[in-house]
Amino acid sequence: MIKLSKKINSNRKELFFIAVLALLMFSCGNKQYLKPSCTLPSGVNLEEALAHSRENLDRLECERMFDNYYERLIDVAKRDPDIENRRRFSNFLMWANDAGIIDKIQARNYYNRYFNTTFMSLQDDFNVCSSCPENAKRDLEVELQKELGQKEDGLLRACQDKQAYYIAADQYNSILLLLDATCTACRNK
Amino acid sequence: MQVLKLIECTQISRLQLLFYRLMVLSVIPLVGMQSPVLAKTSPTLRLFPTTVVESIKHTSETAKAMEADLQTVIERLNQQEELYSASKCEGAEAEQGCSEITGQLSQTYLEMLNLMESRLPSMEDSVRATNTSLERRIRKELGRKTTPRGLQKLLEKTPLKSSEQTSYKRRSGKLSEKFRQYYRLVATAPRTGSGGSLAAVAAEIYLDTQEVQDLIALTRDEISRAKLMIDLGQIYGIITPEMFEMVGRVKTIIFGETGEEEGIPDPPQGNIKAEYQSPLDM
Repeated sequence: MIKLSKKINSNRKELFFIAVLALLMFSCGNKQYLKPSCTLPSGVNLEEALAHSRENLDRLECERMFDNYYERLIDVAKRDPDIENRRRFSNFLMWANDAGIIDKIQARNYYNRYFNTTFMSLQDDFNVCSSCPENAKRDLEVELQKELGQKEDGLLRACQDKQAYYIAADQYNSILLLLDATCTACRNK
Repeated sequence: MQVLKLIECTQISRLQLLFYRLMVLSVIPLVGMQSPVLAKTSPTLRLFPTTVVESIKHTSETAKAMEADLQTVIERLNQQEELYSASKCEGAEAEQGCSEITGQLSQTYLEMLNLMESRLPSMEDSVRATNTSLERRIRKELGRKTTPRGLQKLLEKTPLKSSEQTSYKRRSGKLSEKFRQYYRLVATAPRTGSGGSLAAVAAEIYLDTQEVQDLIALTRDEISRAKLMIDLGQIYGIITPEMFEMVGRVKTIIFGETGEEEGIPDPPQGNIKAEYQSPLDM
C-alpha cells in the first residue's frame, strides 16, 4: 500500500517536471524574446546604423526608445560626415512618421533642430512680450543655446555644412539681441 | 596720493567707456540695406518713423558740435604732451620748467573736462529722445505684433554677409561722420516693409542708447568730482600716464587717428553644394 502511494507520488513529480520543462521549451520557442532586443546603433557607418535602427524600431518594445536611437544616430553621423546625411535623416524621420512611431510635429522638431537654421525653441503662438518675464526669457535663452549645440552637431559635424551652421550661429546672436531689446522695451512700459 | 590717482583712473575709465559706447552707437553696420525685392515681400515694420530719424540726425549734429569744441583743446593738449615728453619731465616734475608744463597740461585737461561737461547735457537729451522713440516702436512692432519665431523670420530675410562686405567693421573717423552715416542708413531705408536687418539695427541702437544714458550720468558725476579736486588744488600739477592715455583715446575716437580696424571675423567658406530641401523643413 505504501509502495503504491510512493509510486503515485513519484509519477506526479515526474509529470510536474515534464510540464515545467515543456513550458520552458514553449517559452523559448518564441525567438523574439530570445534575441537581445533594442540595441542602440554603433559604428561609423550611418547607412548601416539607420538600417539597424529601422529594424529595431519596428518592434513595439523599442519604439519608446526613439529618442535614444536618434541621439546615437547623430553620434554615428558625426563619425561618418557627409552632406547627404541631411537627406538620410529626413528619410529616416519620414519613415518613422509613416510607421506611426512619431507624429509629424515630432518629425519636424527632430529634423529642424539638427539640420535646419530655424530655431524650434522659438514659439509661434504668443507675442514676444509674453516671453519676457525673467524666468521665461532665461529658459528660452538656455533652450536656444542647447539648440545651437544641436545644429553644430547636425549641420557642422554630421553634414559639414559650414555655411548653414554659420548662418544659424549668426541668427542666434541676432535673436538674442532682438529678444534683449524687445524685452527691455516691453518691461519699460 | 594713491587714492587721488585711483579716483582719476576711475574717472578716466568711465570717460573712455562713454566714448566707446558713443562710438559703437554711431557705427551701426550697413546690414540694413536690403534689395528692393526683399523689401517688397517683407512684413510691414515701422521701426524708424520720422521722429526717430530726426532724433538720430540731432545726435549727429550734437556730436559734431562737441567735436568742434574739443578739437582745439585736444590739439593744445597734444602739443603740451609732446613738450612734456621732449623735455624729459617724467620723474622730474619738481623742476621749474617741468612744473610749468605740468600746470599748463592740467589746466588744459580741466578745460577739456569743462567742455565735455557743457556738451553732455544736450548729448544726453538727444540720446534720450532717440531711446524713447525707439522703445515705443520696438515694443509695438517687435514686442506686441511679432512672435519669437517671427523674430527669426525677420532675420532670415537678411542676406548673409560675404567676405567682401564690410558690414560690422568698426571704422575710425569723426564721431559726427559716423552718426551721419547711420542717419543716412535709416533715412534712405524704406519706411515700411523693412526687414530683419533694420530690426537688429534698431535693437542695437536702443540698447546702446540705454547704456549711454547711464554712462553720461556717471561721467558727469566723475567730471564734477575731478573738477572739485582740481579746484581744491589737491591734484593740481599731477600728470599721470592715464591722463595721456585718456587724451590719446579721445583723439582716436573723435578724430579717428588710428590704423586699427576691428570687426567680427567672417565665417569660413562652407560647403556650398546644391541645397537639399526636406519635406520636414520649416
